[in-house]
Amino acid sequence: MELFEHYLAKKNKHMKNIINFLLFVIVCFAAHFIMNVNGFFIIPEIARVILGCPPPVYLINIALVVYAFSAITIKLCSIAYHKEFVYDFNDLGYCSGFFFFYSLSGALAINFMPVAIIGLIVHLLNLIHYTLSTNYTTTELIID
Amino acid sequence: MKKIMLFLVFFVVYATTVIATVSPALTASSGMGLAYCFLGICGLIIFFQLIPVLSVAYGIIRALFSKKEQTYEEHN
Repeated sequence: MELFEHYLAKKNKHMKNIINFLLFVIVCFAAHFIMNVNGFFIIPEIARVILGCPPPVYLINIALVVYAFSAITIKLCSIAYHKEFVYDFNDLGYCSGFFFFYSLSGALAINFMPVAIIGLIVHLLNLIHYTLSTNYTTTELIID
Repeated sequence: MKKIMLFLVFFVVYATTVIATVSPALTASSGMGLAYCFLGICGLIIFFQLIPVLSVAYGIIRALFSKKEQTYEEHN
């Protein structure tokens, strides 16, 4: 019975993981589609006055580097220490945020590939961590 | 531990302040919506991503340079 419940939970997590990855791919396709458009000039004039200037590109680059370094380190540490896989949409949100700000700054065409590659690496590490963690828990349950 | 937490809080405040003041685009007086949004994302990255990494790095460095080494013979 416990094994069956574990199987259902695993299936649920597996579906969420796939949905997360698919959403990331959809976001990447959408960003690629609007790559050559400056998002700031699509916004109406009144909203532009309220929102103000978009952040400069070099600050977004610094934030992207910090995010990439820390996210990859965290994923590798959690894989190395056999931590339980915790499901979240954080990485999807961060990648979408970077696409959004690059689009507003008009530099998405140059910086599309770095964001996409970093997001892909983080999501692949997520998938590896998930696969390894489910293998551990299943083995422990079978041994018990 | 208290000192480390104090240092990390100080670091977050300092980093966000530096990001806010370093660019004239972020200190423009007209509208600050996008700037605050970007600063919020920077704060999230620092608080939820960078601080755990720094604490892990601190733990690794502390373990590397600690003098409490136990040989195999002493252990047995």
